[in-house]
Amino acid sequence: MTHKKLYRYYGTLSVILLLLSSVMQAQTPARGEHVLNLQTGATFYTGHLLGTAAPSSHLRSGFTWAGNYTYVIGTRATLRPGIGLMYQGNRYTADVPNASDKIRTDYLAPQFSLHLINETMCWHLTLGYGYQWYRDAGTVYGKPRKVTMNKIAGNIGLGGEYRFPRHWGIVAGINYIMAYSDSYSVRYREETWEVRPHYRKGDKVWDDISQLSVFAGLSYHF
Amino acid sequence: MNRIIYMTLFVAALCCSCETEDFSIDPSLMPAATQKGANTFGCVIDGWVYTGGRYGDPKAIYYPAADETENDTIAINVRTNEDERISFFIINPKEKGITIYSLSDTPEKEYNVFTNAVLHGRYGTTELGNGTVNITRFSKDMQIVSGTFEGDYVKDGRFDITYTNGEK
Repeated sequence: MTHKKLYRYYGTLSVILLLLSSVMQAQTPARGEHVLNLQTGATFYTGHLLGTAAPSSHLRSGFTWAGNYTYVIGTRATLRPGIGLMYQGNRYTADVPNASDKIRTDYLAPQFSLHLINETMCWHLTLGYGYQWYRDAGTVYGKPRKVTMNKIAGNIGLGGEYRFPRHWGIVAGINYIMAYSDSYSVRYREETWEVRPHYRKGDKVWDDISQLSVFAGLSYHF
Repeated sequence: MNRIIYMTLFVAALCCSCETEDFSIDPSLMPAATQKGANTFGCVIDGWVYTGGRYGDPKAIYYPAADETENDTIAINVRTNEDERISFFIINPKEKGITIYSLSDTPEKEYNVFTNAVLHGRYGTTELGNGTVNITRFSKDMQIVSGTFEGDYVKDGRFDITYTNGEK
């Protein structure tokens, strides 16, 4: 499946979830709950490594942080829809002889979610479709080399939350950001070059810059 | 004198050739040092990486000596940017031989192999000083010349080029 098809698939699923949210909202009282999450954890770069330190496996593993706002629609149904916004930042660093990479990605996307809720536990599935900013501020032989690659991206996440009696809860989950790029921009020697991808799959050529993250953190309900 | 003529013709031919830009090449990344005729070139000058391939394959022409009074010569010319190239000569190339190169054109002195390494940039011509070349492969059957080089102003140089034969 090409990335364009995957993006269409994500878009379709997001619309379905949005419609489902509307239907379920019509069947339940127009009240809901606001939820804020702050999480941190580990991330794994699952795509093709593009950095100068790419041969180093250390570039695969990174540090991640995220924040979500979700409005969970309804207060009584066991299965409730939600809409919200997600931000996730990822950081990967590695050094090899004569080169270093400092990759940072920032992802921002509206979220559509389904929440399976009982008294103390909540399981949720989220889908999002947004934008990922990618930059690598590395060095080659001690001189600066900057790469940027900002692209539309999608995400899918699964998680669980244990709710304490009042406002607070603890959350954990995984999130997969799926992103592909047909080019990146490299700034070096006071010049900027556009570089097109090196990896071929079937009749398509693209660079996979997807990432899988594992989170844990706190939630606040109001 | 022959070398000057060779290089003049070589550069003229290179300038006239219209090669499209290869967008898959990232000019900031040094190619691996290979010995398979991969048509790669890279070196570090003043801390900055210069590579070939994006603006056409690195070019090498082998000129066998016409008689005993002349030397075998390989002329190498690499476009590293739209308006920038690096050129040098390898005289009497021999595989597995580490040789000294000099900017002075004095083959009759103690060196029978040397290069004249020059960076031709948009702001003029920069001579790249003295150094050494280590030819790691020189296959006349496969027409491949590979090696590493470094000098006063050049570090971590490497080339792996399929050459063409020039006139004797």
